[in-house]
Amino acid sequence: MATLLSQLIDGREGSQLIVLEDSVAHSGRALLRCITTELAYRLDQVHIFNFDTSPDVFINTIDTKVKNKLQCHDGWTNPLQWNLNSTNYRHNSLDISTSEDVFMRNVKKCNRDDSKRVCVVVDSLSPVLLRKSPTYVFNGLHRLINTNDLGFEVCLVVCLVHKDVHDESALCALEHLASTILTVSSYMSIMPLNEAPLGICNIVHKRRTGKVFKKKEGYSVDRDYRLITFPEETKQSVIKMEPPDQGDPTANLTFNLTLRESEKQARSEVVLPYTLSAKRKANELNPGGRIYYEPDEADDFDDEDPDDDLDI
Amino acid sequence: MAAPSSGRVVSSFQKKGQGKGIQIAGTRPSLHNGQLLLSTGIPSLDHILGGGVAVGTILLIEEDVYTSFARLMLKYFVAEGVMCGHYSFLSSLDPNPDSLLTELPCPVESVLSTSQNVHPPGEVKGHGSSSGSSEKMVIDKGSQGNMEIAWRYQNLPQLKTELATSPNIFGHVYDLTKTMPGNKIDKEKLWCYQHCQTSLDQETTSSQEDYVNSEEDTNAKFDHLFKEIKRVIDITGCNLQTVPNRTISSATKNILRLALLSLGSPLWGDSGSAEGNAAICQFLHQLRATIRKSLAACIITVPTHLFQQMYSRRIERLCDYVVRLESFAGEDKAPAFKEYHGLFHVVQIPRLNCLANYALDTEDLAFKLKRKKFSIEKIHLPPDLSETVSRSQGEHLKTVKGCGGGGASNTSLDF
Repeated sequence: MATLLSQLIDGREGSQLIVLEDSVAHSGRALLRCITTELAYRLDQVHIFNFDTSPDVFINTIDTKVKNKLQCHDGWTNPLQWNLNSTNYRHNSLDISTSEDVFMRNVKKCNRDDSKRVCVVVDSLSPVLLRKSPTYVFNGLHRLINTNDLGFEVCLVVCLVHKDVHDESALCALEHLASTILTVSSYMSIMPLNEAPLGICNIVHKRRTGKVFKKKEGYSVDRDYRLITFPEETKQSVIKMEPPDQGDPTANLTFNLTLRESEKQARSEVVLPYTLSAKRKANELNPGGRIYYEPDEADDFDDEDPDDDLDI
Repeated sequence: MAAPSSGRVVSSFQKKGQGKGIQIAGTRPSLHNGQLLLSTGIPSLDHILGGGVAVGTILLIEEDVYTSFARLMLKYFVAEGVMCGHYSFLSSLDPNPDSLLTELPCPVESVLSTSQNVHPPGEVKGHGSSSGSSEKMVIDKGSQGNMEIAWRYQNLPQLKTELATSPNIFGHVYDLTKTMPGNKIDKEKLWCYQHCQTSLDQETTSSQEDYVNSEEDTNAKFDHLFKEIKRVIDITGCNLQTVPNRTISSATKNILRLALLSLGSPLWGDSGSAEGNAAICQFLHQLRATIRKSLAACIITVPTHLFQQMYSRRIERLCDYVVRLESFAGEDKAPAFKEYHGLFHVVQIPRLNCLANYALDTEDLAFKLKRKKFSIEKIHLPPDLSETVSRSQGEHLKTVKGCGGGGASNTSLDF
């Protein structure tokens, strides 16, 4: 059964912005490299914005077959233009010191003409988010996802974010913008990689229609950066407490509680006190107003006549 | 104008002679304070707000975490505006306003006019009536069976959790499975606004789209929006300040409906900070002042779950009607809520030209999204008829000992 994580990466489950949150305890870079490889197989070109690691280090271990599809944008060497002399000719240098949008502009600049379906991987978004205002970052990401009138289409944007360096509000706002949030944490196990996961990934995925999925799946990344996913453990099925076999409680008693057939029939013929029978309904509907008087014995006793109680 | 036979309140009251207020299509005066009301498109929401949204006010919807239901409510509002022929102004940054227009719910054509919908309440029908508003007055006798003992309760109506029980339908009925065809939307009466960042400095050599002045003040974005709103109000003639003679015939007057989706979302600027919050508060203050003096009503959705309590409280105070959605999406629901999709909280209802505001009869409301309809209902917990309830005396049966005496006789007692 395909896991939601593998579906998101394959493209079977559509998503526009995937935010991968990691922490000091467990790095999400391995998963990010893995996702980059998978996307490179599937799409025409992958633009990688490197802010946290050197671009050479990042693409070093990625499969050489797809290396030509990767375009690195170097935000690691000299993003704030502190070093005026150095220029890196191998990768496109980024400059985030100005207030121009860094993402879409560079993607447009370096996109090859024949690539129609591209994706963008950001490793990681944290330096940019710390350096520039959150609004800058969100607007930049929004432009990446929503610009449609160019020759190519940005199918997916994947960002790595270190959640321990940011404050709650910036992270909440980023999560609000994202369509998928993957939070990775570690899984303690010494089993080999294909039997037990390397880490646990909590997924919150929002579809366009409004349906929300929350899943917790395991993942492993092997040497060649291939992804192995482990589906969610289903909750242990609730052990149903069978009501203990009652049997017939009227069976083993020393007195008889059952009814014979004739008794059952007699019981069903009993008219209950407040039932609406035809006779009662007739009485309610036509009151009539008749008086029924049956004189009692003592009623003839007349106080005035002193001889009335003589019984001669 | 036949009065119904039972004691239910039906507002078929009609004033004799010309009322002194202006009469515009799609509005009706409120029963509580005489304000002119608009329908939001959702009948149960109209009932909760006291008949509808008053002209000249702002309704704030505090969004649920995944925004889908707030968007749906806004779509109903815009669709209602289209159906009544009102002017509409739609603004949103994140989903393109044009894409919102393609998703409006389709009105149901076969809705009978209000006069035909008054079913005499005493009439018993065997099945639902054929009009769209079938659930209001039907008592289905066949389903109950003839009661033998409790026959006095036979004719009482069944419990209804729907809120809007008036047979006069204010507003139109919509079907969510279909979308409104584009030809119904009158483009002349529609304005869409999506703030595009334009360069303020024309001297840069880079092309205009690239130069995103994203350090642009949040204030500037709200300013642009506000100026645009003012311009549209003036164009449509809804600005009551400029019309000197109020007795101009009602035929020329129309209402402007404003729908602002996801105001204060991260794309608008950092509304969670002090400056950002001041910007949005200023905008709302200006907006409310302007709208009070125009024939307009406004619905705003704000993702207040991203803000601190104190900032969202300020925003609430600057709007008139405030409701909050709390959806269950993605969570395990308590079994009591299994047919609902979320809770609906009414935070604030304004006092408009009167001493006391409209009081709701219940505060426990929840919303549900059925396939064709979105409705808000009272939370109704059905009786708990499961087997495990109060069954503790069941176990005692097994340990009952026979009461026949100490074993001297073996005959079983016969009752």
